Amino acid sequence: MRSLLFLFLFLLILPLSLSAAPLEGRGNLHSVQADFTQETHLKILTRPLVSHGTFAFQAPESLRWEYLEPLHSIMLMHNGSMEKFIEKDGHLQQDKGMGNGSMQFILPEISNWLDGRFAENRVFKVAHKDKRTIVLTPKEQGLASVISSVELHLGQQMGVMDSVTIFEGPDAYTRLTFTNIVVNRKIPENTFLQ
Amino acid sequence: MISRIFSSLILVFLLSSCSVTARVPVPGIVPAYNGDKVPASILDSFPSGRWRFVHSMSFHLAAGGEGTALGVVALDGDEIRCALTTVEGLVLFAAREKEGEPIQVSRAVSPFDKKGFAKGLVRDVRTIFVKPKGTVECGRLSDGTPLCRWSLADQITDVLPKKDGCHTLNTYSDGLRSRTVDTRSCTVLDSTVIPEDIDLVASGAAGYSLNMHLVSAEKLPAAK
Repeated sequence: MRSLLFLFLFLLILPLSLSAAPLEGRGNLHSVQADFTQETHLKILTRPLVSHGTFAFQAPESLRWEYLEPLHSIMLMHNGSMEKFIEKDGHLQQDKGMGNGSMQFILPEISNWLDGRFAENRVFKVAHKDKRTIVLTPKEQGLASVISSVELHLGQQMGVMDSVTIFEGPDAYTRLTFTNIVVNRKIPENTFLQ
Repeated sequence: MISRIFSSLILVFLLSSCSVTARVPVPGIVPAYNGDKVPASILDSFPSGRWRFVHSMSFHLAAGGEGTALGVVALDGDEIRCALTTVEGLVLFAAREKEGEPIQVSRAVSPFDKKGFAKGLVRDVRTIFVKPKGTVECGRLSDGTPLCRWSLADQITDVLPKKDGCHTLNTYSDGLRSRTVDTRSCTVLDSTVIPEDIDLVASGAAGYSLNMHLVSAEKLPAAK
């Protein structure tokens, strides 16, 4: 399950990293903020499970990923540490299952992405479906049993992601759609601390 | 730590199939005059038709360990569809079960693919959401508490309405209590009592508790 958590963090950070490092090479983008809608589609469910939230990413490694609905939770990454909070009984409580060890796994990948070295990704094979669509497929069979592929759709704005679709199998996929995207605005440090 | 937490979640459902000791025996019932008539207040505690519920689920093991996940339950007549996702929405487990037919697991990420997990999960979902099966007898316990009791083979289910419109449900296997479901903060939606909080406790030495907090309840239109 730890690998699943790592994987999710990958998927969170990847579009942000791409935003900060457009395909043409590392650009001048250094921060991204946006709202997102996440739809989890399951064949057995008549309607998708919909989540709403917001995120802020500051290069090279500060992230606030916050779900506002249906369950309030916040993931914070900053200065090499990681914390996660989940709402319980009306209050945000720290999820102690989130270890700092995760960062040691993720940070080298972020660094690669920020340098535009997508082909060096040790987890996914990277292919360009078309000019605005990047397809990632897991290199390892174990991971492929969890995620069959990931599609990243670039937006009109240079380096900014429109959506990410995570295909978890023939009967399940999750799509994140980003709106109200703001780039290169200074983000206060405490955004990543609380 | 994450691995331990999710392994614990697995245990919650796997242990439900284990034999446990020191459980409460079935209490006696004083039948009412119209003992086979189930009050609407009890019938309304079990959704009928097509519904979808989303809960945040916290679990605690007596031996230590806790975790949180999202649970989705879709009811459609005698068919149950359920899914477990991480808080972030990644699907850990998805299955459907039509009564009398084998459980169809459409997705089970390790370690949720362990034998017995699907059966334990679906059994707890049925205990919470589906009206018990069998012959029914309503009456009172010796202390005067009203209840209705369903009996099917060696399985007994007591449903005890509470004054606030919620209910407590006890199941017994082989004469000993196996589950207690306590519902709290109930509201009525489409003539169905919807609890905001549901606590499930499995009795015995291998006991566990599962706390479910309602995220959404939705009555779905009839299937075409």
